This record gives sequence, C-alpha cells and structure tokens, in this order.
Amino acid sequence: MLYLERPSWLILFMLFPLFILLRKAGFFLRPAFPLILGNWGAPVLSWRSPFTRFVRLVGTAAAVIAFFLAVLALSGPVRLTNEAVFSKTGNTVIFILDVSPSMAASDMDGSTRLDIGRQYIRSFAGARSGTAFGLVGLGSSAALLVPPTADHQIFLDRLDSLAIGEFGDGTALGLGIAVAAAHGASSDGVPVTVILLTDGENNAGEVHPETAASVLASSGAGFYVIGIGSRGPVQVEYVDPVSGTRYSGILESEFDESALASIAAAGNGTYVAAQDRPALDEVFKDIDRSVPVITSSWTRSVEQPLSAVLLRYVLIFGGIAWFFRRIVLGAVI
Amino acid sequence: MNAYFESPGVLVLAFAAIPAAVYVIIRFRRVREQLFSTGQRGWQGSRVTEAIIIRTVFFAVSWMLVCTAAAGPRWGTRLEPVREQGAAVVFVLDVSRSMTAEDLPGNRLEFAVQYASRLADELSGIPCALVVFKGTAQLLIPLTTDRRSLQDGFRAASPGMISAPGSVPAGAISTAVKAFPPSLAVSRYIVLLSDGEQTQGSLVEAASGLHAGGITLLAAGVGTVSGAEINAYAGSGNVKIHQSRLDSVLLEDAVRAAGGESRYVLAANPGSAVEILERITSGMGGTKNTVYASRTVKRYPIFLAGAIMAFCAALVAGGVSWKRS
Repeated sequence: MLYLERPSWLILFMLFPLFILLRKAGFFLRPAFPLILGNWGAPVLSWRSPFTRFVRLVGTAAAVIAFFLAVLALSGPVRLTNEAVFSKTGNTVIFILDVSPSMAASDMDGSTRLDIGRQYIRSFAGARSGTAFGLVGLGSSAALLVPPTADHQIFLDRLDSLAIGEFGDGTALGLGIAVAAAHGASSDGVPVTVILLTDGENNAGEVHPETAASVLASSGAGFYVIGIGSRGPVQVEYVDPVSGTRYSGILESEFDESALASIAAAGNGTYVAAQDRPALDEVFKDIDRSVPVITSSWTRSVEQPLSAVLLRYVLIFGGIAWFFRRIVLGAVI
Repeated sequence: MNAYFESPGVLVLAFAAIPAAVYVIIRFRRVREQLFSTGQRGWQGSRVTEAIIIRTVFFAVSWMLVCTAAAGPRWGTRLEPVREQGAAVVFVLDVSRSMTAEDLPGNRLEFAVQYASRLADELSGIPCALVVFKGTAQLLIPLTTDRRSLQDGFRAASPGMISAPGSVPAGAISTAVKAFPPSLAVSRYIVLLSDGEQTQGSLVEAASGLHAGGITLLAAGVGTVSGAEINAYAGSGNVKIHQSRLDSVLLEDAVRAAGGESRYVLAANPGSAVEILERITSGMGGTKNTVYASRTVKRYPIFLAGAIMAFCAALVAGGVSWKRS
C-alpha cells in the first residue's frame, strides 16, 4: 500500500501552471535578447531545425519531470507492508544432509541429489519464518554446522556452501542422527523434527544408526528418513574440497532401503523413498503437512520510504536538463 | 547530537554545481563580448548580467540542496513505540591478546568465558548468540536456544581462533547487531565482555546507533585498573612486554552513547552478573511490552523544500530582473 506522509506539499504542483500563467500575463519575462542576423527589409531569419527543437523539448521535459518528482518526494511517499513477526520460535527442524560423493550423482532430472535436496530444504524453510532450522553435515564423520536458529539467512548460507566430500567419502548415518539428537534435545522444550536426507547405507562412524534413532525417539522428536536417488548406473562428478582433485565416473547406485526403513522405525519415524523429483515433491508435501507452520505472534507495519529513489531521479533528470540545454543546445540563458 | 548522512557519497554531486555555474557565466561573457564587437547594443548589458547571475546562483543552490536531500541527512531523535515480547541476547566476547592478562583468576578470557557461560545458563528459553572479536569480528553461534552449541562456542574461545591481530570492539558490535533476525520482535540485548582495549574503529560510535535499533548494551569490564603485563607477540618467539589495563572509561562512554537502559558493570564485582540478568529478564513474561525506541529523524524535506524554493526563485527573480531591463 502506498501513502503520503505530507500530502499537503502536493499543492506545490500548482506552481507549474502558475508559472506559465504569470509568464503569459507578463509579470516576468524569459531572459532573451534580439539578435539581428539579416539585412534591413530582408525576410526574417527563422530557425526550424528539427534537431534543435527536439533537444529543447528534451531539456524542458527533463526539467519539468525533475520538478514534479521533487514535489512528489517532498510529500513523503511511503510503501507500507505488513510483516509477520515472532516473539520466539515455535518449533525446530534439524536437517541431516548426506554430503558423501554419491550425492553428486546427477540422476534427479539433471540435477545432483545434493542440489535437489538443497532446493527443497530452501523452499521448505522459506515458508516457515517462525521455525528454528538446524543443519548437520554427514560423511565419514558428522558435525553440527548450524545450531537450530531463527536466523534463516545463516542457515541458508551454510546450506549453500555445503560441498560434496566435505566430511569424507563414507556415510556415518548413526553419527549424524546422534548429533541431531544431542542438539535437538537442548532446544528448550519446543517440538523438534529431524529430517535425514541420504542415498547410502551406514558404513562409517562409531554409533549404530538404530541406537542413535532410538535416542532421538526417546526425546520425543519427529523423524523422517528420505532415501534420495535412483538405482543403477549414474554419472558422478565432483571436486574434492580438501585436495582439489576432480573426480568423474559412473557409480552403480544401490542402497539398502530396508536398512533405512529400520532406522526410521527405530526412531518412531517414517521412511520415504524419492527416486526422482516428483517423488521428492510428494515427500516434502507430506512433511509439510506433518510439520505445522507456526503462525506469527503478530504483524507489524513496515514503512519503506520512496523519497530516496525519487531524489536520485530528480538528480538524473536535472542533470539531463542542464546537459541538453547548456552543452548540446549551447544556451547561455 | 547524532547527525549523519545515509548516503554521504551523493554529496560529491553537489560540487558539480560550481564548475557548471562558472561554465555558464564564462560562456555568457564570451557571447556578450561578441555581441558588443558586432555592434549589437539594443539591450542593457548590466541588467542582463544581473539576471544571468541571479538565475545561475539560484540554480546552483537548488542543485546543491537537492544533492544534500538525496544524501539523506538525519539528526535529532524521536521516540517510536515498538511492540516486543521476550528477549534475545548476543554475547560479544573479546578474544584479543590482552585478554590473556592474568589480573583475574585464570586470566581475563577464562574469567569472561565462565561469566558468560553462567549467565547463559540462567537465561533459560532465551535465544542467545555468540560473537567473538580480535582484529576482526565473527559470529560464532547464531541466535539459538541450543545451549549445548553455545557452551561449545564459549569453550572454544581463544586468541588463536582469529588470526587478525588487534582489537575491534566496534566491528563486533556491528556483527552483533546483524545477528538479530528482523522477524524476531523481542527485546534485544548485547552483552559485551571486554577489557576495553581498542586498536581500530570507534566503539562509542558503533554503540551510538544501538538505541535507534532498539538494542540495549550491557557492557561488563573484564580486568583490573592496575592491569597486568602481557607479551604482545606471544607465540611468535619475540617478546614485547605491555602493561594491559582495563579501560573502563571507554566502556562507560560506549554505554552512555548507547543510551536507553544500557548499563556498565565491572565483571569482577560481586552481583554484577545479577544486575545484567535482572536487566534482561525484567521485561520477560507472557505479556507483550510496548517499548519506545529512539529513531533519528530524516531531515531531507527541509533541504528539498529549500531546493524547490531556490529553483522557483531562479525562474522568477531572473525573469523579473530581465523584465526591468
């Protein structure tokens, strides 16, 4: 919604017709002086160059526009928007994201498994301003990258910077779930949901995934395990972030769904397979329905003043008017 | 008085009026001389010159005032009601070399870590963040109720975690301000734990903008006035002994500049932590509070109105002067 802070200043628009009127009435004259360029009695010299007329028109129009914009800026135009605000986070969602090399497989409609996972997480977080998001990275080891926070920008920035191979080339599912359980449990009693996105089976780490999942279940957290990716040969290409070596080849993609289902069951959670983008779409729709969107505590009006933008245009049009009249046209008055 | 420009770079454009005005006047004089030399004397030269100068000066003034308005001048403050519920705290921890001075049990840093850690434990349910600073500032833990992460952050704090030498509390305050998400409508507190040593920037200047953002600064001075000796080049093999003292004057000045409910306490004083806790938890509860945040007032309308008047004056005064001629 647009409104004016000082609408009474708009009356200055009337100065323009008043100026025209006074000049027509002869209260003041436009500075000009006669210049004799012809012989006595000869036809009067007339100058009807289309270019000159065009330049004069542009210069005058720019000056008039600058004047009108200045008056508009003086009246204080403001764009008013309503912004949802929160006094605290209503729930917590912790994503455990597998960044082992197999997540670089490009079998999700041309995108890699990691990229498609990132896209869905980003979209999920975008609709939940009142939710705290945490991020756990998972490879041969696992670490909490972002503790559950209402600062979504920090969460999204770290999500985007996650690189394949950042945590080694294994898959320590148990460790990842244990890290999420430890940090979810200390989130001061708000409902916690843990979502694991992986394409592999546990082959690293010192914590059994089902043990970690049962610890998670005992904390009362919701749990989803998403098996992402197709089966069969897939193209894999990635650069190891530590050595800088580029790896490229064909991966025989195979993972044990029953093992992932068992982990989900141990955590009183749900296992869902997403072999392609439509399947992943369905999975996130399901999760979307299960994890409530926190309603805002209240809304506040945010004023976005437009005067600064208008004033820049005043300067631009003022500069154009001066340039066209003084430099291009060569006017001295 | 807190006066500043939002975009001071725009002011450079104001100076363009001077060469532009000089160009117009010089060009007019040349034309006038040419006219005189060809015998064109059907007009009063002095009146024309007067009209041209009046117009040019008013146009130049108008341009300068528009540039000033576009730079976004602000001064003075007014109070605006802001609705808040709950609180959020950003701990700003000094990890500069001077914090290794041993004039407090352990050393200043260990003391500050213990102090902050105990405070965080008492702030149950309140999201807390951790910013550490030395030659640069870094957000180590974003706002979170996950106490485990926060305590891990406190434990990790050491001068070695940031390589840039020096001490920039001003940069740390800026980083802390950005750590509050805009969508969180809570009372905002920055708890600064520092010995007040500053090598770059101005803490007082950084603190002066806090009240406008609805932020309260709670500064805890870590160290003693008598101070202790430290090796400024510790770990490098070189030795340069430096007497490091608590600069409570700087911290008190910063608190004064921050205004509002901001407070300075001496961390070593018994009861100082309770004072900070009471300050943070005073507004807590289930009800929404309306607090008043001071906002600096935009003053561009004054300059813009002046610019429009000068523009009109240029058109009218020049024209009237010409008519008289």
